[in-house]
Amino acid sequence: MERSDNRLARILGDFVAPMIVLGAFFMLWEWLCVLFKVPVFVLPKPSDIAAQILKDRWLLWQHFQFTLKNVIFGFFLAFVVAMILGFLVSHVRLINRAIYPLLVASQTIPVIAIAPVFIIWFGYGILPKVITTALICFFPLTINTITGFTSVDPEIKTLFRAYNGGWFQTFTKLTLPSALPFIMSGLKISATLSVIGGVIGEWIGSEMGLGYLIIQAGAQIQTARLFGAITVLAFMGILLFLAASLLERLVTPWREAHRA
Amino acid sequence: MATDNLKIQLRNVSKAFANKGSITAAVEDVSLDVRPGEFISIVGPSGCGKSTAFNIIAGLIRPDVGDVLIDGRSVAGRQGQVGYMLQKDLLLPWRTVLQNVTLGAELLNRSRAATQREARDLMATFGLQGFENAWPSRLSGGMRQRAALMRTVLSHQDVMLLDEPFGALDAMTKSLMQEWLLEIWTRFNRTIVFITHDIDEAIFLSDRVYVMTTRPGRLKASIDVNLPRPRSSHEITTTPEFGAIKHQLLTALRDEIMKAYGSPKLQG
Repeated sequence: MERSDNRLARILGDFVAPMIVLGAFFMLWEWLCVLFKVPVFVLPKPSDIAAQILKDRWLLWQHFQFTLKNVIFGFFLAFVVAMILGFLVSHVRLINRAIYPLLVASQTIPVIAIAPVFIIWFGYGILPKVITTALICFFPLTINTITGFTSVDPEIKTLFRAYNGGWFQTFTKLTLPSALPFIMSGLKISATLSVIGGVIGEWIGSEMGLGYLIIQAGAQIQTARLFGAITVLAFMGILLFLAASLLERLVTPWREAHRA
Repeated sequence: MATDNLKIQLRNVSKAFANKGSITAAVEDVSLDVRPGEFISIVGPSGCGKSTAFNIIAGLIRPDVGDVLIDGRSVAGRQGQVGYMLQKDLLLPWRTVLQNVTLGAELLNRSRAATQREARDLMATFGLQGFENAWPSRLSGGMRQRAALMRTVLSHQDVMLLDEPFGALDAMTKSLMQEWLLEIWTRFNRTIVFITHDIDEAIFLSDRVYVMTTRPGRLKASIDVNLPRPRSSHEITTTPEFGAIKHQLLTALRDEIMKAYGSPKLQG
């Protein structure tokens, strides 16, 4: 009984409450637009946007696929780089000294400022988009990975030593599982950020994708379409975040048990 | 006492640590002998170097002077020769209870299948039946310590080092765990070195209790506990014999505790 009550309460808290807030927000928006007779090219009503999305569904779907593909590639690129860097920085003192400050300093350069360089180097293909996405994603992933690899309980490490555990055993059975929750948090943060990277890549120069669609719709003052594209982008971000959360549950099941 | 029939020998072991330019002697000239199947305890005030002695036997710290022998062979600086358990259970949260209790054996590269079979058979003995596949976060403090001890037992090391294993438990649980530890010890016929600052606990469990001095840690007294076994807590702890041994121990410890508390540099 108690358990099902808790579950119900959680579903209410996790899902229904934000839905109510969102619903109220849209209703207020709709009502204000009607009340003040706001022209549709300035601010379309939520109902206008919904109608536009329905009308544009095929167009949006095609651009959605293009952007999603780039974002996922960029995300994976960032993941691989972050794992390698994270491992090296946390395990090799010299690399830590040499790279860590540069890693932090690199974050002061806005990705949008260096993105045009990638167009010059790699043209208008998918590579510049993948790279901008990877650049956005890689920092939180790397920092979390480093934190994870260095957060091993020293007493458990001693226990491993007492039982003559070798380096490889210690890494696979202790260091990596200790780091997993941190890596998973990094993954969730990066998943939402990745969409931004994809859009930046398309803004710099593209003939496809939701970012491109936003620029086009903006130039033609098709405000409803613009909002439609933004809605789909938000949807993509949520989708990626949910995918990362699902992965987190699968990879670190013991933490789920902790929460329940 | 014939030397070749000893399980553990510490021979004039000394160890000092350098800390911020000054050198502190943690243990000094410690010698002790433990016969196979004996249960001995080391008591002393906090920071007396008990844990240093413990880590020297575990091979985690190499002594500056002297030698440690297990079964007549030097194990100074050699790990993987003993079972090892601390006050913190050190269960891995990402492993189920079954996977946790087999960890020691796994790290020592013992047969996985055999260890798992044995673990399943022993779950009831350790009061963990039904929790084989549970995450450690679901266990109570007492259960966690039993799982940690099971890991130590399943590592199949003749010598088990226990450093204040029940120090974090409440009095009731602690008392139950002590009696139960004696059962485990009798059943598995291991040699146990037990570290504690609880005198009652040391007397109740041990064949012999060593008193360690404040830094530098030296062995000040060795007191034999000739109380009959099997022992049960409520009967033994109220006997005059128990009281007499406790008196001896307290006398030996008193000066050390006064020294420790009088010292302005008292730490840990």
